[in-house]
Amino acid sequence: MKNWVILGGVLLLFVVLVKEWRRQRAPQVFTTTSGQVEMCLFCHQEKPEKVHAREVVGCSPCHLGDPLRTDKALAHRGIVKNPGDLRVADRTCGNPACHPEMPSQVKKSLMATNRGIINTLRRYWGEIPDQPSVRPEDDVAYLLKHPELKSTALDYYRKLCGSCHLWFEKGKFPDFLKEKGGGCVACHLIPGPKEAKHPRLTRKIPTENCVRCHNRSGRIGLTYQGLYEDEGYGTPYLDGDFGEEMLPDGRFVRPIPPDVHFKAGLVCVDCHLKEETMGEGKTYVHFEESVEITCVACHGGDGKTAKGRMVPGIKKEKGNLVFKDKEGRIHPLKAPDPVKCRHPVHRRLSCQACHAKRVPQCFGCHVRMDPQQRQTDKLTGKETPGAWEEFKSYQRLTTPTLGVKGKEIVILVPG
Amino acid sequence: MDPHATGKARSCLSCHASPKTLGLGYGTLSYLGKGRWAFQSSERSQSDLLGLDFPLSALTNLKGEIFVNLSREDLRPFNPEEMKRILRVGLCLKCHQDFSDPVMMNWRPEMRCPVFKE
Amino acid sequence: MKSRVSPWASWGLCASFLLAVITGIIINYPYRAEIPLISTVGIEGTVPFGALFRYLHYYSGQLAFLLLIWHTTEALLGQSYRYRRPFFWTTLISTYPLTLLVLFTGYIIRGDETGLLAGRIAENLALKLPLIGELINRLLFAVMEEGAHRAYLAHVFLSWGLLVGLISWHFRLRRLELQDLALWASVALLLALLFPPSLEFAPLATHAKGPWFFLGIQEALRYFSPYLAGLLFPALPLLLLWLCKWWPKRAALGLLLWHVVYLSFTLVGALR
Repeated sequence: MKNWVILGGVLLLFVVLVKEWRRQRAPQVFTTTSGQVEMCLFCHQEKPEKVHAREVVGCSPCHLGDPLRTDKALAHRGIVKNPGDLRVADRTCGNPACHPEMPSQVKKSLMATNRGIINTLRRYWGEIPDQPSVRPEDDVAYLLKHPELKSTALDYYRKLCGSCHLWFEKGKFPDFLKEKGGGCVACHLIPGPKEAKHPRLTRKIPTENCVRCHNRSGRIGLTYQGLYEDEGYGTPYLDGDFGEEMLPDGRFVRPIPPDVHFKAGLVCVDCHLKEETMGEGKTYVHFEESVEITCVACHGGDGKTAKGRMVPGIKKEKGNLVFKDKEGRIHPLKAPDPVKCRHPVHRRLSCQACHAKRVPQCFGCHVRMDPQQRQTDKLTGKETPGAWEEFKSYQRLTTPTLGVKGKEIVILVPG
Repeated sequence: MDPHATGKARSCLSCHASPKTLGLGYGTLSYLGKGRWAFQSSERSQSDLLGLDFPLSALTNLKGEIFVNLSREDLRPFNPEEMKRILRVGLCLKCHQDFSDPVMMNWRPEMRCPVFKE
Repeated sequence: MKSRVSPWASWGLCASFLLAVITGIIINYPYRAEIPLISTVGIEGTVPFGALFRYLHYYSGQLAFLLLIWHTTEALLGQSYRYRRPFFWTTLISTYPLTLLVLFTGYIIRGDETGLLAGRIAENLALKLPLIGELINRLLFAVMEEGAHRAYLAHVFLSWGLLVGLISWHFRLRRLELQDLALWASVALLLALLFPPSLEFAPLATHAKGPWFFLGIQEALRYFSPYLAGLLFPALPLLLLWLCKWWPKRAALGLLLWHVVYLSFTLVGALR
């Protein structure tokens, strides 16, 4: 008995020695400039951009884990790869010392809830009363929590639309879906220099980040950049290859004259305010309740949006309003033509009714569901029976049809 | 919706003489006199495959029948009265091509054309 | 004299306490009271065998406290109070809160979330003491003004004082067998290997938790005034313990009841 105890003790001592020998010791205790212990910096060389500099912020305020440990397994407990994911954003980006008000607002925004898409779809398909209304269940967060909630429209939404919202987990799905979603970083992340080994966070959201989602239905993200998704199947073929540009998801696009604002170098967030994109803490059903930028805010107006907010880019220069874009370039602002635009006979016209000469239009849009096949539910990531496919009869890039919305003549686009 | 395709404005004719813009769809419009119009769609008026009984590019017809559901409650195609008013201007555009023409610039609804017989 | 307490627990307590002092001396070298958290992390992350000795220190301290409870219970059941003169009995009982203070200050001087919270609560409670509150706080805590310095001194001096006092009047250190020491060192070592204790890091936590034996007081503070929950409530068992000499039955019943209450508070606090 006694020998066994001694043997056990010796063995224990041996284990301790081996463990100590294999342990990687840090040369010093690493701290951030504010004096917070951040042992992550011992192993990690990644360098985010200046605002979130490694020496200032460290790693753990964003990526969680245990910054007091040097042992990899212990230090990495509770770590998150993507701090922007809305599931953790309250504790990461939204922590009390950083951006505390943002996560709750963003979670209410249409890009997170998809409320408009879900509500409209279910109304069209006769699943809920045909009156637009704020319903708690028309929300991605709700559907994520309630996978048991089933209906034909929801099945369609989950399988075909379910990848275009901020709850979408970045990197969870293969192919072009890999780059989509990610909560805060869906918009705010851009690739960093290779030697930094860490992407950069930015407030100058590049157009391509928006267009990762805003490229279907009205195709505004494509049209803005002067791209038209056509039915040419990549023709004309050149040198044995497709002669057209291909989107990451495999659709072909051909060049058309871009929007004048794109030509002037403006990106989406030059016009669109943070209250529109990230929400202002209110619950809306449709995007037009959230969108407040108008053409006249800059062109002939006083620089204020429909909700009375000052457009951030508008500056006064020698008595005139000018527009300063995110890159710091100054653009003069043209007022509407006093005769053509302001003639009483055209008083009901929206600016777009005349100034959008060509709009992609998809006629005879329809979907088909094959109950024999299976398709991935983009919310749960699981394959379930029933595969949806979208079809169109024909697609044209042509002058848009006009119609009446309230007291205004607006563009009507099928799709 | 805003298609985000801002550029130089479209021509007068592209609205005032276009059945597509009015919501009638692709086809030919003919003026029958006395404010009456006829429209011949260039598409089949029925689509058996999709189970539709109207041309794909049409939202409405000259009688004001509405073929499609629109996505907002306060959204509608032009009604026959509005279509007639818009198309009437199209008839003027032959001679008074745009707003550089003083007649266009100063036009009021009660004005009558001395040349064109309604 | 017939032994009223089991030798294994008594010598275990002795060995654990000695071990805690020895490991304490070792980790004292790299420790700096001005930068408590940084130097504690440094001990764990940069000093050779540093983590091992810190974990050993932690577990031998915990074992000593747990074995002290065991030892005391046995002594009470064996009616050992009968054979102690009142003065000696009082002195012996006073080692109980002193041991607790050593354990408690040990948490404070880690400088982590648990330690900071424990320090702040202790300071506020000490200040609530009538007349001597200010003095006690200056001797033991004063964390708001002095950081970990005073708690550090208290930790070191109290543990040395306890060791010297107990060796002198309560047991003979030279009778501690080497194999007992080795056995209890192995137990602490095994615990250190299997469950490395962590420094608490929770900058965003809405309610940080103090040391495990403090949770009951922390929970009681939610419902009662600091005076009641923070001073009288924890002082009660010491008083009862002391009174065991004169009213053993009633005091024992009181102790039992108190521990039931404290345990329930601790459970509720732990589950929060």
